[in-house]
Amino acid sequence: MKSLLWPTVVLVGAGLALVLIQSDPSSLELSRVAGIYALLALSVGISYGQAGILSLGQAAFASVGAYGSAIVTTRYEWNPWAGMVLAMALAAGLAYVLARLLVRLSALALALATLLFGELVHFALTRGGDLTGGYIGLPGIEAPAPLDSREGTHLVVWAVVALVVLIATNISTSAEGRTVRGAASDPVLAGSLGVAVPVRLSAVFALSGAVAGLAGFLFAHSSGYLAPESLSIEMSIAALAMAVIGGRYSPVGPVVGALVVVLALDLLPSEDLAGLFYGLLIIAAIVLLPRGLLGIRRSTPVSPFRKKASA
Amino acid sequence: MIEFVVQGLALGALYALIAIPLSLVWLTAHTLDLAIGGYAVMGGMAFATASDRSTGLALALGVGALCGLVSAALFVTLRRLGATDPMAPGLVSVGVLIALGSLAQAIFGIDPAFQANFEVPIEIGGVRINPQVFLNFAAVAVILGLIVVVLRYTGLGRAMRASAASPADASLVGIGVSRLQSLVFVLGGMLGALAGALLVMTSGLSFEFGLGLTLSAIGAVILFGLRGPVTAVLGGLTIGVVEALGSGYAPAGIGPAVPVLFVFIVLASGVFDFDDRTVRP
Repeated sequence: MKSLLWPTVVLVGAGLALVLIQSDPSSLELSRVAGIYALLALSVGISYGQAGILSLGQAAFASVGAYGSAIVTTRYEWNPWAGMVLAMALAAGLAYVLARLLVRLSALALALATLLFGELVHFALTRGGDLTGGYIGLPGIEAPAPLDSREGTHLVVWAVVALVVLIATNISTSAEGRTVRGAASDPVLAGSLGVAVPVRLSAVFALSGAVAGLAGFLFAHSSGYLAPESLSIEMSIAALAMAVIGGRYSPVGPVVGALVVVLALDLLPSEDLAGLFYGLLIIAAIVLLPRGLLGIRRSTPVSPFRKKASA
Repeated sequence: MIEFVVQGLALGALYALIAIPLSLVWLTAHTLDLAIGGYAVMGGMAFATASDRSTGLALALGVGALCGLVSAALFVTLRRLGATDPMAPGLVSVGVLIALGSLAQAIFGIDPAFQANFEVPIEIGGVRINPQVFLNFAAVAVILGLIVVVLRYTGLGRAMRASAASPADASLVGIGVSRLQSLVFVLGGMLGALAGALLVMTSGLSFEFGLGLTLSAIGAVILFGLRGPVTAVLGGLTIGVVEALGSGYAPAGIGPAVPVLFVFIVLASGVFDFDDRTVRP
């Protein structure tokens, strides 16, 4: 039942926070943004921390999910919750295909390819004509029942965060998680033991894509509008920075990172400087927390179990 | 058709200009300096603020060198901390790229900068050509020539090639490897800034161009294999022509996506990979 610890902490924290800030719209808005960022950072944590796939295009999956759901609900009058399923399925499917294509590349080439993929999605969205609304985007996206109030949004978003933390915890402690980390750290050895390495890694990346798609759905249906810049490349970088800062191997690390970064960003004087902030943040995270990045392959798969063995 | 190709070559020459330092950084430091587009943006925007061309150029080169120095310091720090894979410095350079773009927006504003050198295109054999093409080509040719000469025939070049072949052995025979790597980063900053300044005179530049320039430069260096400055220049010219033909013939609006797609396909095909030591299945 240890795996229930962090999700419970997140839920209780969200409940307490709601009591404290329920009369303050700007704090509720901040909490919504932080929760969506936390989901995006969690998706980075899952792909990077577990499968070793460093993605610089996570916001693109969120965008795909968000646009998918927004288009079917505004144009074809789907139920928003069906849109949510579509958002996750679209993002997961795309992530799976992309990972199957790219997972054999070296880490740097893989990261670059995800960056390029993000650019391609952005191009497609800005030039999608009537379907995506081009640069202007899609206004008037329906907010289904709990998402139509700030309090409801707060609770839904953080409940989803708690759920994803629970899933991430279960993955990282399960046999499946061990297999995936083994496959990521030594693909040749894992392959010789009968692990279908590309399939396993791609499946985890698909899960991370689904989480990002869910984040995109929540964003679109709680803000009511969507533009290509809503879920931009800066957001991909920011999510990565959050996951790195908070600790991508811990299931709850990305959530901590997201909270810290969003609260700090709120103190910035101008939105124009957000890029500078994210850039410096990622530099600081990598230079000051070097242990994270140095031996991704060497240190990660072993350490969780060592702790367990000694405990 | 020929006009598109010429226009593409003008842009391609600038991609080549930023691809040269990218290939040198890979050879001597075994990482990619993804901030290169950021140097171009900072340098180009700084160039555009100056009242005349020569002050602007000096300003651009200064700004570029400063940015390169920051990247060099970050790279050396990471190496001191023990990062040996290309990943950590590569990611840091993404951070620098994003930060420089935002900084350029804050300092120089969101208006694009465009200062054409030549008002009237000249006509050669019925094809209208912007003389800027020749200027860009001259810049690339001179710089490529200088770099090849330095690499082949001078002690500095020998030291650079030695550090590229084996940093450990190079430092054993008394070559200051990190100093050389820093030098290459600073050179990257200056060449990036020069390319930015030329871009202001060719087709214009705005603060959000950094990532696109970096991606084009990466495409240029990997297209014919990461072998050195000469293949990087050829790659840059090819990417430029592909982009121009894309914007000329591809359905409206998707022109800018063509080089990105092109590079994505090159990467995804796995023809080329950055690190043959850790090949994944």
